[in-house]
Amino acid sequence: MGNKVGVFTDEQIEAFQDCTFFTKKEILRIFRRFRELAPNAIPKVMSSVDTNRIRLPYQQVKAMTELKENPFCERICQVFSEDGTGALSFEDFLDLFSVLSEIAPRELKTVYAFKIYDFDGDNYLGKEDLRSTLRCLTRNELSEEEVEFVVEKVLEETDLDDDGKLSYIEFEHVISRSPDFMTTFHVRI
Amino acid sequence: MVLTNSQMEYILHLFLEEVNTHPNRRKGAATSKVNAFIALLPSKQPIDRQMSRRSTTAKKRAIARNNKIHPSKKDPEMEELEEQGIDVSNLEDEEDVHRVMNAIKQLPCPLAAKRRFRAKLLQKEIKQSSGCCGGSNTNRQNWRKFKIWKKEMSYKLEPWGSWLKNVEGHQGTGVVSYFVFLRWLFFLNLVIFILMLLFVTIPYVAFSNNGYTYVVTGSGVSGMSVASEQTCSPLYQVNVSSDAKTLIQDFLQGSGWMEKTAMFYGFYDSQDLNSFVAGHYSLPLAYLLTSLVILLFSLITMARYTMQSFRENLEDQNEKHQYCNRVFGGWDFALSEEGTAVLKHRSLYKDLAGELAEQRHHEARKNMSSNDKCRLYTIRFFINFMVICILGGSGYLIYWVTDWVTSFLADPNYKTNNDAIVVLLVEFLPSLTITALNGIVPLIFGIVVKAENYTPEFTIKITLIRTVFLRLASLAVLIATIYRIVSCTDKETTCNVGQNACDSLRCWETYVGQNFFKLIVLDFLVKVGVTLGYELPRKILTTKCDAAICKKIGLAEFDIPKNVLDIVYTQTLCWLGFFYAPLIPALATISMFVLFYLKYLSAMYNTNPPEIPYKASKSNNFFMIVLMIAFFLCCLPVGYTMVKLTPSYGCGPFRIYSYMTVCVDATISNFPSWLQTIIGIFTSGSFIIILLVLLSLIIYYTSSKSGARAKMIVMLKEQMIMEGKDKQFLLNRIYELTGEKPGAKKKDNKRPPSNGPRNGPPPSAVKTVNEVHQNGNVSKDNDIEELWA
Repeated sequence: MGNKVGVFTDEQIEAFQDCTFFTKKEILRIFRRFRELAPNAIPKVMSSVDTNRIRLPYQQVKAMTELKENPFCERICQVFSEDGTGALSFEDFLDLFSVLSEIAPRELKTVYAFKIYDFDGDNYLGKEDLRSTLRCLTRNELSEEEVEFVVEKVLEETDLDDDGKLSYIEFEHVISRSPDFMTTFHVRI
Repeated sequence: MVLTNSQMEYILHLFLEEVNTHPNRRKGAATSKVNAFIALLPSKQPIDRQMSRRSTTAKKRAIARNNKIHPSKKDPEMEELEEQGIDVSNLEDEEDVHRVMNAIKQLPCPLAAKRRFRAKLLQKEIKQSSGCCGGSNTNRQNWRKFKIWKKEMSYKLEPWGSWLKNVEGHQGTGVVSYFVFLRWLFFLNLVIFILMLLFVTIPYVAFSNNGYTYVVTGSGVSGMSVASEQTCSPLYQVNVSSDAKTLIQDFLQGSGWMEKTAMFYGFYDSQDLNSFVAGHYSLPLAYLLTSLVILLFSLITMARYTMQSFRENLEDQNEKHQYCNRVFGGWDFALSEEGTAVLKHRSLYKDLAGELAEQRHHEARKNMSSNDKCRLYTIRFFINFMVICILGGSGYLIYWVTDWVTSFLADPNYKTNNDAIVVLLVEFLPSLTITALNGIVPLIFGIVVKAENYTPEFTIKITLIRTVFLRLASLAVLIATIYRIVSCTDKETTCNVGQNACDSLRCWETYVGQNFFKLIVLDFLVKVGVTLGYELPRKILTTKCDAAICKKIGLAEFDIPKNVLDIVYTQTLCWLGFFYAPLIPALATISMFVLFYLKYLSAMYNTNPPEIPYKASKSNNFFMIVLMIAFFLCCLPVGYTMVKLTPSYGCGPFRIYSYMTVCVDATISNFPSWLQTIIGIFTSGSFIIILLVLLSLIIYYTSSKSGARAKMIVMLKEQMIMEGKDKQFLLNRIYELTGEKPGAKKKDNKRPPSNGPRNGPPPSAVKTVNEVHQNGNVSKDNDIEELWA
């Protein structure tokens, strides 16, 4: 369909369709957006190796309209990149939007939300992680003691085993009760 | 159960053995016993393995059993899949492959890994496929292809999809939920309009000239009288003038030439149409049944829409998780414009700061003296009383105005004695009153509620409830007044609805229809007026004028609750009016269509997002409930009309019947007798009573079941807390036992190695929190690094 029929082989498209929540048209559209970020660096036709190998550095990904205003942009790119630096290949890019799409199930989104909020990567949302999250959300406008108070409140509400940090299970327990999570954790592309 | 020291020592010994044989051990022995022990805890394993472990123990046991029976050499890939909990041992046909593929899609691992799994899976399928059910396999594949095609089509055809995305980026998901609701109502109205058009208007218009008969009476059906119809129909005259000004006036009011169109009830006739397509087509029956179907359809779609959101929303939990929801679900990932992102940050900040202030306020309020409390409660009582008085006053005003207008219009000389403009104004006076009250009184409520000193959330709620009350009450008063006019006195001897002291109406249903018609037209005009006359000037002021006061006024806010209530009100009018003016749904559809574009312009250019973050799901539930209440309240007048009120003799499809439902009786009386008996049984009182008893039993059963489940949830939560405490206790004892100091909550700076390429080194901005040890012991970092290096 259209002039992008040669971008991927049919086999690639099928693989992408099976592994993400997108249809062929959406995949091609996402590829177009990907290419717009760096038209010189990305070839018009991507082989199976290219999709994994060619990486866009974080600075270029950040320029994308859907991501540039997001305070968690950096964390999102780090979580979805292979080496953790935020450089995304096309497959990572596709994966990112697949998880953030409307159809992705709640469990999948919860896992990735946990990874995104886990700034120091220790599989727990400790006080420092929560502080960083709050600072990103309010752009440093809350005073130190207010931040402390909110962090205390959050831990009070969710920390069931009293170890001062949130494990994945506790986080998931909260998110499954949150009705707005699915609507806010969603990017249309 | 408290473990003794020797028991603890023994357990530790066992665990250390396991650590020493653990495959992940690199160089050096585990010098820190406790850390070795901790590293093996299930909760310390990477998340991906945690998820699978939790949810698929039963499946894994089944797999293990299977493996014992059929031991086979496994690929590492397949083993990985099994560890994630996906059963790959039994792939026999396409269906299983598809199921496993779906499971792979939902794994939280990178795309490259999924592609590897998929490749292996497809290879495996070729080996094991025994070619069973070839035909149905292709069928299933075709079905899947069809579903994908359908999805692509629906995405392409999704009306206004790209517009919604623009609004989302600019204003956030709260405002988008309003547009989604508007679009849903638009389609509901479109369907209602098409139903009416298809089954009532088009047959009548197409076939009414083919000659007709009246629906034949069966034996023993009373309530039909053709005689009065024949005298009264010719008496129902509508004066149509050809003056241009009057034509426009008539178009807006629904009188004159408009009254004779298919828009109103009076246009239709009690005919049994002869069509060459379907034989006899009883128009009265079609009219009645279509109305019932429309009501039923609206009810079902509303119920479905509500249930979808109910499933996601557990009301009581929200109270306990206020801060978490704000922190984790606060940022709207869809926002993509700088200006609104800044606004969103500020709104989040204000929300949190407001919550904090609320806490302090709450503390202060608890410590209020009883004097102050007494004063507060008197103020609240007084204000509530005032609100009721205002509502009562508005109601009386509407009643008085409607009454006065009807008597004014009943005077046969009113047109000659007065100017055309005055007449127009008077015709619209009831609608004007209602619309004005709907606009002004909520403002009064908003001011007055500040004195009551409620929490911000409750303030919004109570203002909304009062506004809803106002709107419903004003409509109720209007209906009551019309009813009083319509049911005034005896119709036996005359074709009019009223005589002597009552106002005379030749065709009362059309009169009712006209009232609602005027209401809808005015409602629409007011909405357009507000958008153009209030928001646009503010925007122009803000952009063109540089004075400080202009900046202070700023842009208007997109007030979501008010806008949603507006469209709920339009929908209520549509439901009330469609029985008396069958094409009112067309008006409502057009109004919503135009409104969509108007509000889009408003949202994109003229307004700012609301300051208070809008909790979409909670509020959507509230509005759906209001819509449902409005719907049930609409069913009352319409139902009462169908069953109790005498139709006009001179106009409309029911003119030969004494009650509208008589046409159903007449139709049934023409059915074969066995059918009549069955219908008799189903509509008899005893059957209904049995049905009611059965339904009550079912309700009781489901409610007690949900109560039991709630108790179970509480119990499980307590268990979970207990387990956590157990673990903490054990850890502390072990610390004690091994002589290492407890209380040092360490963070592993390096993550344990795992199979996915996803777990790379943590980001550069790692913040380590090493709480100070009691006596600056041996640095534990070395131990950890040694263990995992």
